[in-house]
Amino acid sequence: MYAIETNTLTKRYGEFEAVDEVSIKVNHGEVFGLLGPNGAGKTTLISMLVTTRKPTSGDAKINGINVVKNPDETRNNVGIVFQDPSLDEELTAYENLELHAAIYGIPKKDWNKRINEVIEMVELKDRLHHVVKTFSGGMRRRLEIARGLMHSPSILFLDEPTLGLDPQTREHVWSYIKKLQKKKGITVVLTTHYMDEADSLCDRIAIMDHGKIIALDKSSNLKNSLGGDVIEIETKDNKLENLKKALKKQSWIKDMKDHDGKLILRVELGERKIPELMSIAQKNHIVVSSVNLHKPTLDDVFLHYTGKTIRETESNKESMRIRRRAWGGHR
Amino acid sequence: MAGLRHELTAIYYMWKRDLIRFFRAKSRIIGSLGMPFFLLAALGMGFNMPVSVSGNSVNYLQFITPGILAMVLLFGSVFSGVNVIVDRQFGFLKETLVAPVRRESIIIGKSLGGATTAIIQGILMLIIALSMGVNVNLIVLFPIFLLMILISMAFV
Repeated sequence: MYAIETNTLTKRYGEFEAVDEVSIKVNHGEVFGLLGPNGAGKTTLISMLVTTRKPTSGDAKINGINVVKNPDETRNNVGIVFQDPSLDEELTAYENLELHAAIYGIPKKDWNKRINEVIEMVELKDRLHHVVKTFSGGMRRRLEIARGLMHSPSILFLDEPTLGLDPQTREHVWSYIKKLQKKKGITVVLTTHYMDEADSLCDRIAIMDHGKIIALDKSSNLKNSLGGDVIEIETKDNKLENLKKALKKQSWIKDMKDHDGKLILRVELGERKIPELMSIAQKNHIVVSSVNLHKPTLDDVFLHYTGKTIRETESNKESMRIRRRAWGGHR
Repeated sequence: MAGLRHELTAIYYMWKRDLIRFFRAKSRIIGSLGMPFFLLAALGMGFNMPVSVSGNSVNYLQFITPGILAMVLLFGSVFSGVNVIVDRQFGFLKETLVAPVRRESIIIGKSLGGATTAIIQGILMLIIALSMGVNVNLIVLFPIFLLMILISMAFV
């Protein structure tokens, strides 16, 4: 039995398909990543799995339980940490956790034990009776993770867990997530548009765009599937098209795209091919202004499948979202 | 009966939440009392002043204006404050939607909490009125309280 299993799960709003026939299987104890720009459908997909949205068609099972037919049982099996803050700021950490225990129907005799367990795991014990308004953004996120685990779910959903956090806090949150997997064997599904996050945390990554899963595999496999290194070349005087023509006949170039004013090539052993590229350019009277060689990243994988990079689609939306979060209380 | 106990516990803690929030926001309590206080003060003084000012007889309407202005300012600030709070609360709302608890329990808990805080505010306001020498007919209180409960439930 899989932790999560979906079968052509679809969510349609009128003509718009937010989630388009998604069929995935998530294993127990896996850290599963949903990577893609905002608007890809990640949050909608997760909403359907935690019962806040009803699918238009298809079905999903959580621990073998049908999500649509048994919503309450499903909710007992999953914990969720939303993208937007959802703590009550005027209550203390203890009161927030206590209220969660009350609405989840946890037997009262277990409350103190559970509260202490989860608060110790996220290292907020000294702030247990402080009002959440006094917490920093990183602390609030940790408290939300603690709260999401109060009812001991076997699956935890994290929607953009480190959005808007500084690098140090991000590292801390990552280490908590890893701890959850190693020490408690909890299945974690996280959505993100950060490639480094997907890369370092996830056992498998599903790349999502426009409601569809366009690739699903281990990070290393995804990058290797591109077959080789990535070379980016810029030329002076707009000679990109000329360079493209000159390189067209070269058999050792596996793939060639132009994107954002650069020519992007995929080659094996890129470091050995650069000198040859320079000499070809020279023979054709093209002056190369910059060359960049790197091992493929998830962004390259995304570019390969969709013709655009995650970074581009995100740059405007990120600043808007961060502003919205700051207003909502995160610091 | 575990199901019922679960729902009752949920109701109780949602109610408790509203009370905790009410008593923690000292400035909000003072703010909500300020309006009736100013109203009473303005109207109360309005009837006296024109008589006691020596020399110029003050137009009653002109005198009451500052009081009403103060009331309008308070009203406005309270409303905008409430809007900000309500928006933030929507985040918390999601937490209640995802929980395996009946929506009705959440609503009942919140309504009772809102009604309780409204009644507490009403009592405080009456104490102020009494201290200003207003005569309060106790029988009138009953329908007023009922009205307060209904209004607060409508808001929720």
